[in-house]
Amino acid sequence: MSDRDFIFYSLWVYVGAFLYSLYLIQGRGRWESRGHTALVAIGWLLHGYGLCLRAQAINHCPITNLFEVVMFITWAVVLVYLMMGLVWRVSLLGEFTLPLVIACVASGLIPAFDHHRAEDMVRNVWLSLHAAIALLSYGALALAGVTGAMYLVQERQLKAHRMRGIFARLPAIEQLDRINYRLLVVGFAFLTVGIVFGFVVGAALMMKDTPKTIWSLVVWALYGGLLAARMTNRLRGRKVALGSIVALAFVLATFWGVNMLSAQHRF
Amino acid sequence: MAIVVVGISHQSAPVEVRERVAFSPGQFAEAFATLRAEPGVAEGLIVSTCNRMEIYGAGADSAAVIRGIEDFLHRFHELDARLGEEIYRYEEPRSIEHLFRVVSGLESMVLGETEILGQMKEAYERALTARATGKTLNQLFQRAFQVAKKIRSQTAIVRGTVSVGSVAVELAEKIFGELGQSQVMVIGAGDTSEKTARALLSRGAKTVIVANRTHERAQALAAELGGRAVRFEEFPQEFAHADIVVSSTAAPHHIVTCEKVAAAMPLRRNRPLFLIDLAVPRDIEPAVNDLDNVYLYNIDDLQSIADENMRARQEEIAKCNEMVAANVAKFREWLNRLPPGAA
Repeated sequence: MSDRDFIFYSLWVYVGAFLYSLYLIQGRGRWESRGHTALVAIGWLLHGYGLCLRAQAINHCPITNLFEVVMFITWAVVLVYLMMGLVWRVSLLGEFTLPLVIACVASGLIPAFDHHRAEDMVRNVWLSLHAAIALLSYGALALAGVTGAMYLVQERQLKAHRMRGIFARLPAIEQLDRINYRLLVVGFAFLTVGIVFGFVVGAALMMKDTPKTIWSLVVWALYGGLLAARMTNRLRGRKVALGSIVALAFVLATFWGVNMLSAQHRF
Repeated sequence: MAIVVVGISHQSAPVEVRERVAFSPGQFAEAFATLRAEPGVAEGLIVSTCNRMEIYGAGADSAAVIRGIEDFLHRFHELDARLGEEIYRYEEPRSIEHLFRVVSGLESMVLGETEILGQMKEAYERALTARATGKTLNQLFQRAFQVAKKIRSQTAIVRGTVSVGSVAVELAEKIFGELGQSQVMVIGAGDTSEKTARALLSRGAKTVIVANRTHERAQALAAELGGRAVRFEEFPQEFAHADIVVSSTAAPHHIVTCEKVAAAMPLRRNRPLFLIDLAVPRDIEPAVNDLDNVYLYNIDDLQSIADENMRARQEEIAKCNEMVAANVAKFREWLNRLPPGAA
C-alpha cells in the first residue's frame, strides 16, 4: 500500500467520524462521545503513517509539493483538534472542524497536486524544523478560524433571539471567545518562532526569498495586530472572530500563489 | 395482587378540596398504621404534594382495596361527606399507567417538570421505612423510577426551559458560560425581576446590585438577596460592572438608551452585556441590541422562547405514551407470573 492509500483511508475515517457525530446529535443528546474521538484519532494515526511513508520515500520532510503541504497542515489541524478535546470540551467543534479537514484531504484526490516535486529542495534539519513549526502554527490558526465561525453563528442566534436546531448546542460565546483567543496566542507564537527560524537558517545558508518573506511578514502583522487589539480589549468578541476568519481566508487564498512566485518555497 | 390508586390532583379538584385530604409530615406514622389496618389493604403508599394526594394500594381484590382506602381517608381526615367525583379511583392497568405517567412528569401542571420524581422517591422511601409497602408496591415503584429515567433520557419531554426566569438563566449561560464571574443588576424592584435575579443567583451569579426609585425598597431587596443598593440616578454608572441587567420599572419611556450603553462598553473592556427588559412599556431602547457584544431580550422574546420549548415538549407526548404503555405491559407480565400469595 502506498503512502497516498493511507491518507485516503484516513479520509474515510474522518467522513465516518463526521457522520457519526451528526448521528449522535440527531439522536439522544450524547454528542460528546468517546467513540467519535477514537475514530478521529484512528484517522489521524493513518494520516500520520501515510505522511511518514512519504517522508521515507522521498527522504525529506513531506512538504515538497502542494499535496504534501496540505496533508501536513491538515494533519496539524487534527492534532490541535484532538488536543483541544483533551483540555476543553467544546461541543460541536468536531461538526465545524471535520468538514474543513475532509475538504482539504479530499483535495488530495486531484492527482495534479501530487505531481511536481521540488527535487532540488535543500535538505537541512533546521529548514525542516522551520517548515514544521510554521505549518503547525497554521494548524492552530485554522482552528482559531473555526472557533471564530462558531462564535459568529452563536452570536447571530443570540442577537436574533433564536435557539433552535443543532446550533442550540453551541458553547457559550464567552467560552468560544476565550478558546479563540488562546488558539490565536499559541498559533501566533509558533508562527513567530517559525519565521525567526526561517530568517536565521535562510541567512546562514545564504538563501533569499523576497516574495515569501514579504508575505510572511504580512501574515505575521495581520495576526499580530489582531492579537494586540484583543489583548488590550480594544477588540473583543465578534470583530476578533471575524478577524481570525478573514486572516485565515487570506492565508488560504494566497498561500499557493506566493509559493509559486517564490524561489525557495516553490513546489 | 391487584394494584389500585385513589387520588386527587390539580386536574380533578381545586385547592380547597385538596387541602382537606393533604397529609402533613407529622401525620404519616399514624396514617400508615391506620391504612394498613383497613381490611383488604395489604400494602399502602401515600403521596402528598401541593398538587396531588394519592394513595397507592395493593391487595387480593381491587374493589376491596379501593373501599379500604376511601374509608381510611374519610375517617382519618374526619370528612363530613364521602368524596365523589373529586377523587379518581383506578384499577389495573390504569393504576400502573397513572403512576408511570406521574413520575415522568406527564401529569404535572408544567409538563415534563422533574421535581415530581424527587417527591415520589421521597414518598416511597417514607412508606418503605414505615414498612407499609411489600413486594408488589416495591417492585412497582422501582420500575416506575426506571421508566421515568428512561423517558427523561430518550425523549425531549424535560428538555428546554419553559418559564421566563429559567429562559433568562439559560440565555445568560449561553453568553457567559459559567455565571460565577457575573454580576447582576436589578433596576426596579418588582416581583418578576426579583425572581429572575434569584434564579441567576441560584446558578452561581456573583452578586446583585439593586436600583429602585424608592431607595428603601432597593435597600430591602438588596439585603434580602445579599447584594448592594445604589441610588436610582446612579444606575448608568453601574453598567461598567454589571454583566446581566434585569430592568422592570414603571417608567413611561426608555431609561436605558443606546448612548448610555455605548458609553459603558469601553469601561467594560467590551465584555458582553446581557440586558433583560421585563417592563411594559419597555425600559430599554430596542436598538441597543445592535451594539457589539450587547444582547437585549424583552419580555415577549423570553415568553416566546418559553412557549416554543413547551410546544417542543408537547410534541413528545405521543412518544412518551408509547413508552409508558410498553412498560405497563411488561410490568403486568411480571406481576402475573408471581405465584398467588407470593407477596
